[in-house]
Amino acid sequence: MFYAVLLPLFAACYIFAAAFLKKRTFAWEIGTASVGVSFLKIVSMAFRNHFHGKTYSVSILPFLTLDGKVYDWRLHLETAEIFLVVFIVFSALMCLIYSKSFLPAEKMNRFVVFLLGLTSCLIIGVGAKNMFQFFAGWDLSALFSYMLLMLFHEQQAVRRSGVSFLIWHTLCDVPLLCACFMLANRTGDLSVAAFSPESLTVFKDSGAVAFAVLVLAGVSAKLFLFGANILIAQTAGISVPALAFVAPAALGGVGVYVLYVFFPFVESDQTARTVFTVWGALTAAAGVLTALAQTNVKIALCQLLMAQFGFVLTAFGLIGRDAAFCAYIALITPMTGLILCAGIVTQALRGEEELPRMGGLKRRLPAPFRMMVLLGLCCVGFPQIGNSAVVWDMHAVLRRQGAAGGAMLTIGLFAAAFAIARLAGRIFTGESKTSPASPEAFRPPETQMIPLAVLLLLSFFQNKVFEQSILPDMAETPSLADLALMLAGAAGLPAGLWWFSKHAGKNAGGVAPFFRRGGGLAGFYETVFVRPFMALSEFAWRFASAELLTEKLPKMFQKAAERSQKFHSEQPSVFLIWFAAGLFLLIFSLLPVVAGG
Amino acid sequence: MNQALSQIMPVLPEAVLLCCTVLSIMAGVCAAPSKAKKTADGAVFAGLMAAFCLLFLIKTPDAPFAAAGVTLKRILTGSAVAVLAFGADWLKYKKYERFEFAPLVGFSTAGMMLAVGADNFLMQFLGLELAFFPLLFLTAYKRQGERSTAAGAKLAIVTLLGSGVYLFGVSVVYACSGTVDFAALAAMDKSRVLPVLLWGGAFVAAGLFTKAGVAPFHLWLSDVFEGAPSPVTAMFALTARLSVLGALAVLLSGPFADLAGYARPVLETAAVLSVFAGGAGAVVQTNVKRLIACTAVAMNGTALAALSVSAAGTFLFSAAVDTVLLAGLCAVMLSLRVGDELIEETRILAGQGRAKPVRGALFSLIFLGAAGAPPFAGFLARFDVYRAAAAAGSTPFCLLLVFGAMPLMYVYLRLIRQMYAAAAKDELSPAPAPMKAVIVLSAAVSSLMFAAAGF
Amino acid sequence: MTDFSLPAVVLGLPLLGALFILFVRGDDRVVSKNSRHVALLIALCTFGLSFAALFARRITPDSHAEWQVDIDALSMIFVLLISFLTVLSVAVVRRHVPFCVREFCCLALIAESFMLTAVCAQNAFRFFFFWEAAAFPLFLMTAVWGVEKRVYTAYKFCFSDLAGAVCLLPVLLELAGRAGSADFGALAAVRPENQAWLAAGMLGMLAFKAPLFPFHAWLSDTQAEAPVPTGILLCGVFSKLAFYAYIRLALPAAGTVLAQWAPCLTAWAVFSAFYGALITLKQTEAKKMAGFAHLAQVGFLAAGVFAMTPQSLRGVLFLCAAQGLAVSIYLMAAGALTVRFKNAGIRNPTGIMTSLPYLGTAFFLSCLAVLAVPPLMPFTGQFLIFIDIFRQSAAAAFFLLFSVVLLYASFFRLFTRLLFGEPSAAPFPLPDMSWREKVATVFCGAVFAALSVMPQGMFDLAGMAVGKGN
Repeated sequence: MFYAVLLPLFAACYIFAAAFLKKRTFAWEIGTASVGVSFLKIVSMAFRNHFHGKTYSVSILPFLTLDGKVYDWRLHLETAEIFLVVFIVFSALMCLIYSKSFLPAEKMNRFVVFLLGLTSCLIIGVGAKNMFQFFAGWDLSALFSYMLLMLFHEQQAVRRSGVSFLIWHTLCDVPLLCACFMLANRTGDLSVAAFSPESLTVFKDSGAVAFAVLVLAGVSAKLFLFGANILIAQTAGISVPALAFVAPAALGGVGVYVLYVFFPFVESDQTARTVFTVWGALTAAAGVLTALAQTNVKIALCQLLMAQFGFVLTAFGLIGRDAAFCAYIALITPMTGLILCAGIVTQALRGEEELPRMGGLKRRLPAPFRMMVLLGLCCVGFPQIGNSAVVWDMHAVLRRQGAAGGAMLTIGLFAAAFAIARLAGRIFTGESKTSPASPEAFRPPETQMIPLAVLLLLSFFQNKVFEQSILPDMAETPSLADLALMLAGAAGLPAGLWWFSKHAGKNAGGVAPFFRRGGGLAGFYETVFVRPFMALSEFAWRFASAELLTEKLPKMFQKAAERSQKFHSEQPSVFLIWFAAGLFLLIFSLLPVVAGG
Repeated sequence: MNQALSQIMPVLPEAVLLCCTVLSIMAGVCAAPSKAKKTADGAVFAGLMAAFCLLFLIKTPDAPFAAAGVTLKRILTGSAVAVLAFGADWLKYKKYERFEFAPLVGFSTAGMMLAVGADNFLMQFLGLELAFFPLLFLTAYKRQGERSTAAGAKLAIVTLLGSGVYLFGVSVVYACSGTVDFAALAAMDKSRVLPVLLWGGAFVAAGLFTKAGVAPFHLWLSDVFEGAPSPVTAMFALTARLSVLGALAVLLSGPFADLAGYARPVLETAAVLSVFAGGAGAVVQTNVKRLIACTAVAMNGTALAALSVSAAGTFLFSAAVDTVLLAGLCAVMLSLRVGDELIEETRILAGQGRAKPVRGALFSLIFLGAAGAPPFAGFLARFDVYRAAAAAGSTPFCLLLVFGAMPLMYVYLRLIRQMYAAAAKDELSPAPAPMKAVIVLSAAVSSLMFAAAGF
Repeated sequence: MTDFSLPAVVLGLPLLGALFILFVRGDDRVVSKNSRHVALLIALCTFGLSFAALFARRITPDSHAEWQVDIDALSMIFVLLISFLTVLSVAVVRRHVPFCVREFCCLALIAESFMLTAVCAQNAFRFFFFWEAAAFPLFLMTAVWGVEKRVYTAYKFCFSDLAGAVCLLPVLLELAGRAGSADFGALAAVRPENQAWLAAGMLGMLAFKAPLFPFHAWLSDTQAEAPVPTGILLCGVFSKLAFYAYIRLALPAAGTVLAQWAPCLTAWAVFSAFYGALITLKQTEAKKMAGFAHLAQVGFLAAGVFAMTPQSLRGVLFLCAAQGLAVSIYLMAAGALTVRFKNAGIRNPTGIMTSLPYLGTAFFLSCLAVLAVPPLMPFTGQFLIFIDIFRQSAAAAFFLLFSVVLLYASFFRLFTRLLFGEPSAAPFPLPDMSWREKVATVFCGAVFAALSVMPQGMFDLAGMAVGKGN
C-alpha cells in the first residue's frame, strides 16, 4: 500500500496523542517499526522504479484550484525523489536504533515524535508537486529540527541557540520565496515538479544569475553554505542521534533537493554555474579551515559536513545536477556514521565534547576508531568507495579545464581528510586525559554499533549502487592521472593520523582561534544587521509611545476647554463682548453683499 | 359671530390655553390653600391637553411652514405637559406649596405657540415676550436661593438685549418695506432695498440667536440652566429653544425665503460654531445641568444646519428627536436624588450602571442617543442633516459638522463608562413616575427609531 | 420559502438573544452561568444558520446565479467569520469576565448582530450605520471589562473609529448623491470625475480603521488592554471590515485613481507592515505581541488590496478570514496563560511546556498559526498576495517577507522563553486546560486545520466575491 510511506506520520500522531493521555507509549518501538516499514516500502518502490521505470504520483487530498490549474496534496516521487527518500528514511532508522541506548528515557517520547515528524515533513516536502506543499515540508523541517534541538531545553545556551537557529532558517526563506515568486511569475505556474522544456528557458543572463543567487541564499542555512555557516554552532547543539539525522540527511536533503529541482533553469547560463562553483568552493574551503581549528567534535563534524556540501555545490556548477545529487546521497551515510561515532565517544567520556580533553581512547574504543577512519575514507574520495565516483568525474572535468582545478580539488580533499584524521587522532591517539578509573574497554551497546556497521557497509558499497542507477554517465573519460589525484587526496587521512599521533596534545595557535570563531562572521552580522535593527526597533517603539494624535492633542483640547470655561465663568461681561462680536460677525458677513448691491 | 369664530379659529388652541391659565390663577388665588396648587395644576394641564387636541382639529392655514408650525406646536404642548409633570413632582419633593408654577408654564407655552404661529413680526415679538417673561420668574423661582436669582437676573439682561436687537431689526425691515406682515414681505420685490433689508434681517437673526442660545450668543445658557430650578431647566431645553428656532424657521421659509442664499453662509457659520462650542463646553462639565445646556447648544447647531439647507422636514425631524432626547436627559437629571437631595454633579452617576442595571441601561440608551451615536435616534437626526447638506453641495460644511459632533460623543461615552466602571458610592432613590415614564419613552425612541426610519 | 428570509433571521437572532439575556434573574453565579450558556447557544445557532445560508444559495461561478438570500459572496465570508468568532468569543467569557457577565454577553451579541447587519446590508448607508453602531458595544466592552489602562485605550479606539467614519461619510454622501440611491449596485455603476477626493476619503477610512501607520496605535493598545473576548471580535473581524468597505466601495468608484497611486500606496502598506513588525521585536508579553503583530498583518492585507489584481484581492479576502481565525486562537491561548499566571502573581513565566503541557502545546500551535507557518491557512493567503506584489515590485515583496521574518523572530523569542526552561515557581499548582478549554481548542484546531488543508471552498467564495465586485 502506497500510504505505508507515510507511516511515520501516523506513528508520530499516535505517540503524540498517547503521551497526553499518559499511557505508556512504546514510543521507540512503534517509531522504529513504522520507519522500518516505511523504509521497506520505499526500497521496494526504488526497485520498481529502477527495474520497471515506475514513478509514483498519488493524490492524497484536494488543495486549491487557481486559474484553472489544479494543485493538490500529492506524493509525486520520481527516480531522484525516491532515492533521496530511501536515504533519508534509512538515516532516520539508523538514528532511531542508535538513540535507544543514548538518550535518557524521559526524552525518548519527544525525540521519537519529532524525528518521525521531521521524516514525514521531508517526505511531504520532497514529494511535493506544488509550492504550497513544498514550503510546508521546508518550513516544518526547520521547525522539527528546532524541536529536536530543544530536547535539552533546560540549558539556557540551548534555548538561545534554538532561537538563532529558527531565525536564521526563516531569514533564508526570504530569498527562496523570492526565487519562487520569480519563477511563478515567469512560468505562471506554482509547481515544483519537473518543468516542461519551454519553461526552462524563462531566465536569461542576469535573470538566471539572480535566480541562482536567490536559490543558493535560500538553501544556505540548510547546507551551511559560506555566509550562513555561523549557524553550525547552534545546529551542533542538537543531541547526537538527532544531529546525525538532521544535519546530513534532513536539512541537507531538502536543501539539495531544492537545488536539484531549480538547477535546470540556470543550467545553460555559464555565469550562474560559476556562482555555484565559486560559492561551493568557498564553502568547502571555509568548512575545512574551520574544522581544522575547531576543538568541539560535533561542531568540527558539522564543519566537515559544510565542506562536503561545498563539494556538492561545486559538482552542480562543474558537472551537473545528477552528479551533484549523487555526490550528496553519497555523503549521507558516511557523515551520519561519523556523527554517531562521535556520539559513542562523548557517551564514553560522559558528555565531554572538547578535543583538548580527549585522547588515547583507541584502547577503550577500538571499533569506533576503525569505523571513523573507514568512514572518513568514504568521505574523501578513496577509490571505489563512498563518493569516489563523483570525485573521479570531477577530476576528469577539471583536468579538461586545466591543471589548477584538479590540484585545488586534491588539496581540498587532502585537507578534509586531514581534518577527519585530526579528529580521529585527537580523540583516539596520544595520552588519555580522562581518569584511569575505568581502564577496561567501554563497550558500546549493540543498538549503537549495529547502525554504525550498517552505515559503514552501505558507505562502502553505495558507490557500486550509484554507478548502476542514478550516477550519470561520465562527462569525460577518466584517466589514471585522475585516479592518482584521488589517492593523493585520500592520503590526507593516513598522513593526518600519523601527524597527530606524533604531535598529540598540541593545539593549533595563531590564526586557529580566528577560524574557530567562524572567521569573525558572527561579529560582522551582529554589527551590520542585528544591532541596527534592534536600535531601529527601539526608536520606532519610542516614537509609537509618543502618541501625538490620541494623547497629546486631546489633552491640549481638554486644557483649552477648561481654561475657556474658567475665563467665561469668572468674567460676566464676557457675554456682552461675545454678543457684540457675534453681531459684528453677522453684519460684516453680509458686507460683501451689501457693498455689491 | 361666525366671522368672529373664523377669525379666532387659527389661534383657538392658544386662546383655550390662555383662558385655562387665567382660570388657574383665579383658582389658585380663590381656592383653599390646600387645594390651590392642585387646582391650578389641573387647570393648566387641562388647557394644555385641550390645546394639544385642538391642534389636530383645526384647519392648517396656507402659509409656508404652517404645517410644520402646527407640528412644532404639538411638540411644544407635549413638552410642556412633561415639564408640568416634572414641576409638580419637583415642587412636592422640595415642599414648595406655591401654585404659580403651572400658570407661568401655561403663559409661557401660549406665548411660544403664538410666536411659532405668528404671521407678522409684531405678533411674533409679542409671542416671544410672552414666552420669556414667565421664564424670568420661573428661573428666579427659588427666591431665597442666590443661584436662582442670579440666573434670573442674567436671563433678564439677555432677554432684554435679545428683544431690543430683534425689535431694532424689525424696525429696519419695516423702514425698508413698509410692512411687518410676513405674507406681504414674502411677495415683495426686495432687490431695491436689499442691502438695508439684509442688515435688518441680521439684527433680527441676532436677537433670535440670543434667545435660542446659538453660538456665539450662547454663553448665558450654561449659567441660566445651572441656576434655574431643575424643571425650569427642562422647560428651557425642551420648549424655549424650540420655539425660538421655530420662529426663525418661520422667518426663513416665509418673508425671507428668497434671501435663503444670503442667509445660508450665516446659518452655516452659526451652526458650525454652535456644534463646536457645545461640544467643547461639554468636555469640561461636571454639572449635569450645564452639560444639558452644552448639549442643547450643540443641538441648536444641528437645527440651524437643517435650516441652512432649507429642508423643513429635516429640521422638524431633528427638532423632534432632539426634544425627546433632551426630555430624557432632563428626566435623568431630575431623577438623580439621594435621600432628600437632588444631586447635580455627574459624579453621582458613577457605578449606577452596576448597582441598578435596568436604570443604567436606560440612561445609557439616552446618552448614546444624545451623543449622536449610530444606531440611535440622535445619529439619525444628524445623518438626515448631513445628507441634505451633502446633496446641497456643501461637503466641507458637512465634514465640519461631523467633526464637531465628536467631543459630545466623547463626553457621553465617558459618562456611560463611569456608570459601569466602579462600584456605586451613593444609592439613588427610585425615580418618580413622571421621570420614569419620560426616561422609558426617550430610551425607546432613542433605540428603536432606526427601525421606524427604515434602516 | 420566498417569504422566509434567512439573512433576517441570522441578523435578528443575536439581538433577540441579547434581549432574552437581559431578563435573566437570580444571584450572581446563576445569572453568570445562564447568560453564558444562552449566549453560547445563540452564537452557535447563528453560526449554524449562516452556514445554512452558505448552502442555501447555489454556489456557482455563474454571474447570473440567483441568490435566494440577501447575502452575496463577499458578505458570506464575513458573515461566517463574524458568527464563528462570536462563538469563540462567548466561549471564553467564563475565564476572562469576572463581573456583569450578563451585560457583557448582551453586548457581545449586540455587536455581532450589528456587524452581521453591516455586512449583509445592500445599502451603503445601512452598512455605515451598523458598522459604526458596532463600535459602541466594543468600546463599552473594552472600557469596562479591560485591564489597567482600559479607559484611555477605549477612547483611543473610539476616536480612531470615529475619525475613520468622518472620512467615509462624505464619500458615501457624494456617491449616493451622484447615483441617486445608496444601493451598492447603483454605487458601483457611478463613475465620478473627482475620484481623487473619494480615493483620499476611502484611504483615510482604511488608515484609521484597519489601521495603518501612523494611525495604528489604537489597535495594539486596545487589543492588549481589552479582555480576550473583545480582542477576538476586534482583531478578528472588526478591523477586517475596513477592507470589506474598501473592496465594496473604493475599488469600483475610484479604481482609476487608485491604480495610478498604487506604487505609493503599496509603499505605505509595506512601511506599515515593516513598522509593525519592528515594534513587535520590542514586545515581551504574549497578549501585547498579538496586537503589534496584527499591525504588520494588516499591512500585508493593505498591500494586497492596493495591488488591485483579482488574485491579490482573492488572497486578501482569504487572508482576512485566515488571520481572523489565527489571531483569535492565539488570543484564546495567550489569554488562558495570562490569566493563570496573573492569578499566581508571576510576571515572567517560563517552562510552561513542563508545568502545563496541554496549554503549552496549544499556545505553541497558536503561535505557528499567527506566524503563518506553512501549511496553515494564513500562509496560503500571504503567498498569493506576495506573488502578485512581487510582480509589481520586487523590493516591496522583499520588505514584506522581511517583516514576516521579524515577526517570526519576535514570536520565536517569546515562545522559547515561555515554553522552555525551568518552570516558574508558583505559590500553588496551576491548573492545566479544563475540559471546556480542551473542547474549544480541539474544535478550533480542527476547523483551522480543515481549512488549511482544504481551502478550496473558502477560496471559491473569495473568487466569486472578487468577480462580483469587479
